[in-house]
Amino acid sequence: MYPGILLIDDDDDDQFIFLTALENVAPDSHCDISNNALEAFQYLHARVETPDIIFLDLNMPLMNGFEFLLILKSDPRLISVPVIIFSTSDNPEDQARAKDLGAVQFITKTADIELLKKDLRHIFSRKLVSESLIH
Amino acid sequence: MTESIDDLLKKIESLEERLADSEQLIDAIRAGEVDAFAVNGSNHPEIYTLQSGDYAYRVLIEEIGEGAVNISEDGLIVYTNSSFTELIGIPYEKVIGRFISDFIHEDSKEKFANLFNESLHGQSKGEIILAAGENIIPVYISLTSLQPKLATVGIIVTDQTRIKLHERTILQYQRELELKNIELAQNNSELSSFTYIASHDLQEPLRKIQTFCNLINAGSNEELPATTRDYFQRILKASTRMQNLISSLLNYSRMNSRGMDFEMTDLNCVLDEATNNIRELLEESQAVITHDPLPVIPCVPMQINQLFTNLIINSIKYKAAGTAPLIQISARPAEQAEINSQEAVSDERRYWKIIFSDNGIGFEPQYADRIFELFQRLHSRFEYEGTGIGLAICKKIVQNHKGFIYADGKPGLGATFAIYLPTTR
Repeated sequence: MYPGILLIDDDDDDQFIFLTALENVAPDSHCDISNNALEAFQYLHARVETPDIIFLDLNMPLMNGFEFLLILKSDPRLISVPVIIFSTSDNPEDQARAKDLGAVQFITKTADIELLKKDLRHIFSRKLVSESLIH
Repeated sequence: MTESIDDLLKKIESLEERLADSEQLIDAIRAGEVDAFAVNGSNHPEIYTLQSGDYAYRVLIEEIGEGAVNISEDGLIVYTNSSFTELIGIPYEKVIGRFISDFIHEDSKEKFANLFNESLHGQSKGEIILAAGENIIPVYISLTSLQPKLATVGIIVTDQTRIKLHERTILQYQRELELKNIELAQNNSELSSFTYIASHDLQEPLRKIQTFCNLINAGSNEELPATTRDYFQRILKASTRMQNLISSLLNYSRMNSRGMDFEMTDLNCVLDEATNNIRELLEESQAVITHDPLPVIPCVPMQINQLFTNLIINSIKYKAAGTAPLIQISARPAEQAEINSQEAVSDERRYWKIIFSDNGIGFEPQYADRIFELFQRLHSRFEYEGTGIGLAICKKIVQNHKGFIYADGKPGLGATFAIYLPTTR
């Protein structure tokens, strides 16, 4: 089974960068993209299957990542989907808040795609996905 | 010895009698029981009247700059001095025989009645408003019952017009100042949120430029002509520099004095943490740091950490060629004299003086103030990398703590930074 990924990010450059890194790290994975949090809920409610993992941007129009996370974690069907924050923020307060809301990891977007690849390799090798599913 | 002891004793007795008589007279004069008295002269008695003393009191009451009014117990004016009639602008003959209440403003009538009743048991004082024709005069009055000697109440009236005018002016200034303060606070908060948002959002496109330059460099590098590769290197370098500038600026804007959590902090621990954070840099540059025992003061530890870090990094950056940086940190309570010479101080607050001095390249003393200004640099980028924000952050942190920082230096002889931090909040 290859991980089914949902990326929620309103920035098409960041989508491109993420897909480029993912292609390199896990070429067999499948990644769908939502351009914002509302679109993501439509996507999630339209399907029976839930994604294995969600990568979530924080700073988005209409509904930000924190608000999305709060609603997601109150939905019994979606509560167990691990969420990894993928944001430009390096603010410790944001990181603490994301963790409180149930995010399993926090990746800060940098200019170095190698760092992103490293994070992704780490995530998939640790089987963070399946581990979190058990909880 | 021509006089016997008996003679002398008689003489003393007679002198004591005369003294007792005189004292009795003086007491009587003081009590106002005597208008005149006779003294035995050498040939005939001499008469002295006390008119001259009485006259002095009258002149005093008449000429004194305060209004004086004497009213009967039913409020009829039986006497006023000229200061009072001048104050209300009505001639003496039109004041005498009128009721005092004719000259008291409607709003003050009740208050005056209370003061008057109170004064019948002794004294009372208070502010009222007089009204005479067009004149509205704020006054301070002091009422004294002259009973039992006279069935009247004496009133001293002090004009408050100028004082009230000053009070109003001061109140107006105060209001204007408050409005200005609110405006200033709004501007400040707008400015800092602007800086934060601008800095944060500015980083985004920059990060993209860097990311794609990195991708080009890592990927199809070989296929590209050398000049193109060089251009991309330059783009990358310039955008990295801009990134540094923006993140420093972001850091600067975060150093505002709002929401600072002061706690009593051992600065020795803060210094240890600061040097720990830049241990690699210290090892690399072989820098040596010595320090006096540092005090415990109320501060925001994170900010003081940043202050110490920036000063140390500054000393290492501007080290003298071929010499290991030596940074000496001394600390002592500041002398009151050196504090008073600082412009910003107005209160009795005590300060610690912490001095960072180094053996680096120093600087021209004329730039001692400029180096703390945002984006002010004394060297070109080719000589020393830098954003021109590090020392500006230092100054902001010290200001947040209601302290001051001064730089001193000479070219080739190192730089000294003196920090004054309050011992109490």
